[in-house]
Amino acid sequence: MARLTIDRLTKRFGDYKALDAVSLDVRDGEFIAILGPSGCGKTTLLRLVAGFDRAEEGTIAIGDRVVSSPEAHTPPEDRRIGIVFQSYALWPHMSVAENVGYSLRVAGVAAPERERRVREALELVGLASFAERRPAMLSGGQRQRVALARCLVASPSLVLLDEPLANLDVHLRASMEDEFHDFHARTGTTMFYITHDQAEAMALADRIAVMDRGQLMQLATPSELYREPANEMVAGFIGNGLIVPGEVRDANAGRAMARVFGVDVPVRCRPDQKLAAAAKLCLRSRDLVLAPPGPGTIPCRVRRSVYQGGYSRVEIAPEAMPDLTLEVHQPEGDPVNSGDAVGVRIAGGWVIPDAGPAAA
Amino acid sequence: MAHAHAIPDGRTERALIYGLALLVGLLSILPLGRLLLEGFAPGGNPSLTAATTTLSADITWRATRNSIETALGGTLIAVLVGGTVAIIVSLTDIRARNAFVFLFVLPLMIPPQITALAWLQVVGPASPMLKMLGLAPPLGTRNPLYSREGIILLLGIQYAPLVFLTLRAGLRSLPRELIEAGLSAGARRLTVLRTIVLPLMTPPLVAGIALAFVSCVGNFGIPAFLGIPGRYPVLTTLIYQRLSGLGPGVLGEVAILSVLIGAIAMSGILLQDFMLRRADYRITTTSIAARPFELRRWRLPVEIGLWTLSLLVVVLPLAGLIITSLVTAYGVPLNAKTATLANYAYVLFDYAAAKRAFVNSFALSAGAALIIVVVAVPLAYFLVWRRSRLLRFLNIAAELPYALPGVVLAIASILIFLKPIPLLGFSIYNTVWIIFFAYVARFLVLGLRPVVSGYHQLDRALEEAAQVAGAGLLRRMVTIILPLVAPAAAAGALLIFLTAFNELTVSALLWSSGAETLGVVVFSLEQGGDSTYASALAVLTLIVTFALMLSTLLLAKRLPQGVLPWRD
Repeated sequence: MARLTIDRLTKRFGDYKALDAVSLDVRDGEFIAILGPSGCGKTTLLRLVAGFDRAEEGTIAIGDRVVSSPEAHTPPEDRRIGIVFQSYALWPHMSVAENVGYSLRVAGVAAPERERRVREALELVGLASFAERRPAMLSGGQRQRVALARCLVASPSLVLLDEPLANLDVHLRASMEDEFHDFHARTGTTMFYITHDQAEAMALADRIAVMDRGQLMQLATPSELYREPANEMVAGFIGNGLIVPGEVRDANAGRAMARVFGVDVPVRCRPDQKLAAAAKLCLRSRDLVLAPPGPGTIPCRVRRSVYQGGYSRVEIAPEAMPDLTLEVHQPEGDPVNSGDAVGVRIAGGWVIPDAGPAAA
Repeated sequence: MAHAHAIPDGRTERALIYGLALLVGLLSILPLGRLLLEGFAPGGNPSLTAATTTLSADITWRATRNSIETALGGTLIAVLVGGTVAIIVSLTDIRARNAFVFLFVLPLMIPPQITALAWLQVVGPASPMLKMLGLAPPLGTRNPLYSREGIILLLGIQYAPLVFLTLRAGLRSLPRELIEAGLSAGARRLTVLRTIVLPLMTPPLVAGIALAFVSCVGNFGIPAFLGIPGRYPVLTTLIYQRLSGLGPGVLGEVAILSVLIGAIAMSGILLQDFMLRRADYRITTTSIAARPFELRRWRLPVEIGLWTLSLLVVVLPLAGLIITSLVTAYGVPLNAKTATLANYAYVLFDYAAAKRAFVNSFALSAGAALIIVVVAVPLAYFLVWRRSRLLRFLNIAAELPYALPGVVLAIASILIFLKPIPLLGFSIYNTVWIIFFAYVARFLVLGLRPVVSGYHQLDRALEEAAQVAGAGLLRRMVTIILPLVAPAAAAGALLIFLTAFNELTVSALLWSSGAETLGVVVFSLEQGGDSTYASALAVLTLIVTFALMLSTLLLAKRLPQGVLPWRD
């Protein structure tokens, strides 16, 4: 087990910057998720950490050892890492036990010791009775577990997981999520988990690194990401945050008063938040409440209302900015129709720290 | 944990790449370079004497004209027959498609010299088959196949399957929506065929045409059996006759002739390149293959037509060959009194050269297949999964000895090995090893292509998983990659074996006493007038060939699609 230190890592494909000065510090034994839309550079990052691609600028260190730098490159086979591939990549010509024991055989571990460790690894994932089967005879979830056992049998210092749940159906996903969680708790291995699914990342990770267009947007705990997004991209990406313009009028020790569409709203902010005439705020649907139009409410018009079972998701547009769409969850029994004029009350929000020229 | 390999991967990898580059260079660049040197700077001094004498000789231009005429004629027949059959087989609902394709593609696996020998048994005044049927023309009549038209006809028959296969592959990848969109726009089926299918099939069609043309130009077996007795020289037979008549003294002259034939073949390849670059034929959608057109009441007549065609083209000549192999003497009809297996007994047990040829051809083919697979697995690994300018160049270099006519490589091999090998001090000229060298060089790409397509169907993560498990390049190659590409490599090895086992063009120029191949022995028996023995030996080689082809159908499920030409 070891920490992973990534320092100003950059990777270009022709003119395209797939990774742009990414720095990341993963603590020993931490479960970290790399989250981002497709094309954000997360797979490139994984391939660099694994050693499949070379670093052009910046360094990667596992433990105290620098494994990637522009000057030196440790090949993947010498990095002592484990990977669970999206396609599992189980070797079809080997049995489950042979798949799991391969790295031990390569390392020259003697047969009795090897068999013991393979058995232990398979017991850990609950597949001890499947040792002699071929991968083709296993279900998707079982293959996933074999892949996990295979990467853990050699006690790697670091385990990389490349969207390991993407090929499973929804039911299996939830149970595998639990298994990954238990697994991490039991072994304490440092895990580096690539995904585009934020629910998965939230459920599993100690911290999440959100990436976009090759850059690291924010590295924080799940609740911090949700409550205090560092920028507009994170605010919009995590939990479908709503972003509205506002004026920060009064800020003190993490509390602020912001004026949004002519209404004063109490919001949270960073302790060092300065006053700003053109700030951006991140709102959550649950912060918004529909009310009859009147003083203290923002005049809006209902675009459409979609019944979701128990409540309706109502899309509304402020009269002052008709291009903006806000979402409100409206309880059953109090219907609104598209075209209705309504008022909206805002209960709270978060001042996005580096939004707009005023904060820059 | 200790790491098993001492050498860092980068160094192993580089050593392997450079080793492969050196090998491909030896097999491809060296012979072709040596040939060009001999043609234009014999002994290292630039001189055009050999070139001007050869090129000003009358016979050179007659042979060149004949080569081009027969190649164009043969290509035309191959395209008409192969193209029509490909369209019918791929787009309509005929029955028993697999069996028909196997039969129709057979001529491709029958060596040209046996095709020629077989057809000679079907027509002509001494044909035992015609005698048996009482249809033989009077003795003294000239065999009509000993002519330009005869050569063109047999070239067309030989290479129709080649055009068929390239076009069929193209038609298979044609998305059904494109046809259905045409039909729903109100076009009739023939209009769809003319305005949508055929234009989109330009690339495979052009590729098929170029392939057939190059093969016709380089063919030796057919003009050797028909053109030499018919006094109709083409470039390949001219080179053979010069060399076998006058010996290595004429090497300068035949080098020029080889360059000439290589240039003609190359022009076919370049023309194809040029044609395809002029327009964009990329198909943008992908989907399952088109639903076949229903022929309804035309189905039976079309099926009868197709089967009649392949019976005429495949079964008839083979019947002629078998009948000749069973009679006591050439020119007698087959009946209860003349039927004998003595010809088979003679070539199997009494005729020393035939017995040697079986051993030689078997060992040469198996050896070449083995060596090539051992080279092709790592070479294809780099070609598919690493990219560099050197590797792209290696890919082209590996193609050249097969793309160019066989005589080109044969003459080049003579030039390299005529003198003892530098540093080693011994000579492989006039031994079986020079044929072995030429086989490995020429058939390398036959083994490489199936392995490359095998790699394309592999998930790269399978290798990467082994890499993170700590396995170095060589270990990954042996424990992970080799087992996974083994079926494709086996298919490649088989293709090499079958092609080399039946080969004549290269060995006709390189053989020596004691180093005969089956092709050479069949050829010399026929040239000496022993058609019955030649037919018996030809039938035996065909039995081996067909048995191997059929055996592959048993393990067909494990092979990547499109690797074995006779498997639809």
